Amino acid sequence: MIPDSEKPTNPPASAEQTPKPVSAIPTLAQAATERKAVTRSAALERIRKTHPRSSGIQDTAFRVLILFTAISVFAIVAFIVDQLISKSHPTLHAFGIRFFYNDEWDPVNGDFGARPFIFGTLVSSFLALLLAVPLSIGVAVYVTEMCPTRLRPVVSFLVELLAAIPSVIYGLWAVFVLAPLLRDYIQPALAKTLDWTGLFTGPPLGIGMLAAGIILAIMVVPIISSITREVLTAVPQNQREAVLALGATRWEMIRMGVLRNARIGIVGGIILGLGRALGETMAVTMVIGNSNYISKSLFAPGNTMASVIANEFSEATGDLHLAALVEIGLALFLVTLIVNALARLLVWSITGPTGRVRA
Amino acid sequence: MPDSPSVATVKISVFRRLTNSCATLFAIAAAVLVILPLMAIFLYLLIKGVQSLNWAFLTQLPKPPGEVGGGMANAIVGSGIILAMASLVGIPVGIGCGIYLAEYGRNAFGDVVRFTSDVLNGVPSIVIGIAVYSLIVVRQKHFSAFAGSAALAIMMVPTVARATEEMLLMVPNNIREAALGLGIPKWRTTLSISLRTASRAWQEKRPRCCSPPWVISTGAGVLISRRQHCRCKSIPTPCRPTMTGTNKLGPGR
Repeated sequence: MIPDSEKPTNPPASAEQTPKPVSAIPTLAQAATERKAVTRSAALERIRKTHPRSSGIQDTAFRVLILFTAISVFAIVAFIVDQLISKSHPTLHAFGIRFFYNDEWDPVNGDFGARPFIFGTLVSSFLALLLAVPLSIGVAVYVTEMCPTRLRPVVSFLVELLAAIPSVIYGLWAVFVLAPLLRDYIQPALAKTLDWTGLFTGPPLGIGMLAAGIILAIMVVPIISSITREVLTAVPQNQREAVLALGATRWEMIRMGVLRNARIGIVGGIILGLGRALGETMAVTMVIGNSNYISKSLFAPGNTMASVIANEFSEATGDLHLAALVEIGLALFLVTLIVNALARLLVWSITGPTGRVRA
Repeated sequence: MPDSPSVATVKISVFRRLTNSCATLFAIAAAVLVILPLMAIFLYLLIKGVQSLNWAFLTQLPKPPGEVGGGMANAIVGSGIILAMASLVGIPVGIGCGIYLAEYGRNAFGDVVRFTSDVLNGVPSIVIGIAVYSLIVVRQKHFSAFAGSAALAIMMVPTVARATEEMLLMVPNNIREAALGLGIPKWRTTLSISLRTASRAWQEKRPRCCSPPWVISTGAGVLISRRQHCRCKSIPTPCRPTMTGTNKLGPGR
């Protein structure tokens, strides 16, 4: 912006210059003196002509607009928290902290406790991580360290394609393919071999906690493995070369040179996967069996926080029932918020905030 | 590398060699095990789905239970309406937020925005569904496509924002400098030069680990617009709007 006081008094020099013959290429020295000859105000005038006066205002307006869209992210979080707290007010008042350790979920008598759902969420997510973590790290190691270069993009693309499948489709597949498979082959085998643990008792139904854990594991693998892969690629090549130069085998190189350096980022990826597993709704709802009781056996049906909301929300019988469901939603929100925040901080400590790592 | 002669001449104990092969085997097995469900799901959908996919399925309304025929036109239209309304709000706001992060957000406040949108990205869709339910459905006293698209728009913002930022960061700085040097105002540079370059670069070489903003989770939409009689019913089961033309990860998200 040019202040008005600097309005030039002489007409712009450039306008009066006659075009020079093409042959007369100015030397560097000539060009320098010519540049000096153009007065400051004339230069400003030239800028002013090509650069309309309003562009400063436009830029400021654009900046403010963009800032507003950025702030909308905070507004969304505030809006969610506000709505959840105000709608769960009845149960927050009626049950207080007891809501979280009460076993009863009895909409008819108006007695609500979230413990079966918290238990279901924790067990299914833990089971999912137990299955998914070794697999995802294995895939990430395979892609970054062992895979032939040409196969590398193919494998990572296929793994990430898993994340593109909508969760209802996982649910559908789990109900029609995975559950019968579990019921007919895997559960009887588990019951025979691992009966003594007490985790695999009861009738093999197919659907239940085990099916939910497996389907969650499949859904979580692409997240953990893509972040692990990013983190592994971030490990400097010298580390690998140094360990190899000491005579390590490939596995020793991966263990000492790569995995050890990347462990914080891997943990971050695992927690991010946990965040997804905790909140996953549709697929879990379709296979977990929807029973509001706590059972030690993994064959038994259960319910998670997300699935009970999905199942009962649109048929909630009264204000208290609705408020109880919203309070479960509030708890779920806070838990995933904390889990995600933790994971982001861990991942960022390796890649930096603008790193390509995304979930 | 391990096959190179210098390593081969060193005597490696049987135990170490065995561990090495075991680890390699495990990694390969893991890759196969992970890709297996993907193939299984695709095959299952193809085998079971293709035979019932015909023109009527796409263009007719559902028939009452027990009658043969009918389609799911209402669900497809419902998805289209919800997606269109959500995109109308969610994509501009998301792109704006992404522009802020990439062009102005190289500071502490930008990091806070980035962090919040990443965290928001991880919030289960069902929670967003509840919040929108209590704001819109409770007040309107009925379920609606509008409520569904509001929830979808909220879910789109953080995803679109981070994708836009990533795209813009791929644009080399000299392009911006060249535009600014020509006297083009910054807003114009951002919108017509950086964004355009970015979208082209995006199409050619999409970073592997982020989702197209169109891959949206179903939970919230189902929760809010679930009603048998609702004219615009979102698709509760198989096809939720996944933009296959550009297809890619989501995350997926």
